[in-house]
Amino acid sequence: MNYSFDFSVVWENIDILLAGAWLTLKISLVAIAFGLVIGVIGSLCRTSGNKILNAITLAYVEVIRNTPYLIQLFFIFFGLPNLGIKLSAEQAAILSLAVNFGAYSTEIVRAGVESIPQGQWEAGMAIGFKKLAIFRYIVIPPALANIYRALVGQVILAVLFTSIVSQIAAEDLTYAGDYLNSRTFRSFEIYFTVALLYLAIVWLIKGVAFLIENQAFKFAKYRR
Amino acid sequence: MTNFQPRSHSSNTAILETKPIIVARDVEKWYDNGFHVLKGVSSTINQGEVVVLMGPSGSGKSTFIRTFNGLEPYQKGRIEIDGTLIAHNQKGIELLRREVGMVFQQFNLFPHLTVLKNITLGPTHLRGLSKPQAKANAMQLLAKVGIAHQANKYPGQLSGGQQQRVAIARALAMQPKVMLFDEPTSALDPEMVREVLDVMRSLAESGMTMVCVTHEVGFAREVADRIIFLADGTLVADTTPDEFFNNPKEERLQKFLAQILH
Ligand SMILES: Nc1ncnc2c1ncn2[C@@H]1O[C@H](COP(=O)(O)OP(=O)(O)OP(=O)(O)O)[C@@H](O)[C@H]1O
Ligand SMILES: [Mg+2]
Repeated sequence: MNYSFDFSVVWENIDILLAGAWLTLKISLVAIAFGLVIGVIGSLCRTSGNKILNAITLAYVEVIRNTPYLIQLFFIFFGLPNLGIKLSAEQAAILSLAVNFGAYSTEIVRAGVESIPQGQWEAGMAIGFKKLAIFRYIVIPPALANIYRALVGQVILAVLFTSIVSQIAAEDLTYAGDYLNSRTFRSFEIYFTVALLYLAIVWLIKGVAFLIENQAFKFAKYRR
Repeated sequence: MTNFQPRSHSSNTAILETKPIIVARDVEKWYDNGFHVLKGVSSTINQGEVVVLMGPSGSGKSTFIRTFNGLEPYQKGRIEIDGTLIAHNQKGIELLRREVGMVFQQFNLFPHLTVLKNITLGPTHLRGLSKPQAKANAMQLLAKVGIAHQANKYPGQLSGGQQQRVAIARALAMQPKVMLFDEPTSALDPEMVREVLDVMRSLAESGMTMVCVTHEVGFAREVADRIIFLADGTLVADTTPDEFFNNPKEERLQKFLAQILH
């Protein structure tokens, strides 16, 4: 092996890589936030007992979970313009990721909702709450606590999925790495650094998730 | 430990005006599997009365009491709460439920909310109380059930008896016209039964209208104004505790008492 490492190419272009990392983080956070909202609403539809809502949601979940994300991304970025819906690369990236993460989180949150005993619904009804208020104030918080770890796992997968959006020239971290690589051919140094930056992003998100867990789900410690 | 407002009159129900709070007429219910669980049950529960519901396992006690707040719909007959009909299709049931408190065997406290928030959730969202108002009321109720010092704990940090007392306070916070209890002490360790029964006794003395499914003979004897006996979805007896325990006429009731009293 007579390869001589040269990380100077990384330092000289660190601003490009950091800009890519920033976009990756931004796309991830926005898509995850929207996806979570989709997941909570989706879990409501799946558990509402309304056959039509359930069928529509189930169809959405099935289509998304059983097709490649890359194709979903291409469909939104290249396919939708045929219908007159034209999105920027960044918008398409966020929308496709949110739709993708929403399908997975729908099923995860649904499992949480179904883990809540019927007695909780009955207690809410006995006070005089309507179904939607019970879902919101009584069922969802402990449901999220019950599936939190699984949800965080899916969040991390969503962050890693973002690297695919470089395929439609969204200028994320992977795109920045590819760009530098094609100009300098310092593949080892560049992709090593890119990997470290992904690791940093995931750890950052894990850290935030841990803080949220400690704050929002304090009660879970006392559950038997 | 417990001191709810005493009745304005003496606890002798004879001098209370009799105002019916729950009127059940020929109530019939079938479960989805076709099981005929209530076969035409009628009873009237007046303001300030404490009525205990007894009967063998599977006789329909829980089902019957749960029709009073629409947790179980029924198909025939009629049930009125303070003059308002509970429709068979349960239209508008949420409004009616605010007037009917319920305490469950399994407490069913909300695990993610502190004791205080468990109690204020209903009043702030459904009764239009401000947070400080609701909190002040809740603290008063917690003092009455003897656990004011636990207000900021989570239900999981309390004993079963304490949780059940919180559940009673939570139901009372809605200022219901009647309180329903479905075996409130059956899930408790024996040493905690007493503290919950004491709260119920004091609530009865304060004049609250109460319907209690319970196997606690002492409570039924001493606190109930009437005891209703259900068997196989039919009302077999509706009488005073004295008649019920000391002079039971119906054969089905005699058999039941022989089993629970020995
Ligand atoms: N959802 C249901 N579907 C079908 N049958 C039911 C359902 N719930 C209860 N039952 C049946 O109805 C009957 C009455 O039940 P219920 O719970 O009202 O009795 P109970 O008197 O409260 O009994 P227990 O003392 O055991 O609590 C029982 O035979 C029970 O098996
Ligand atoms: Mg029962």
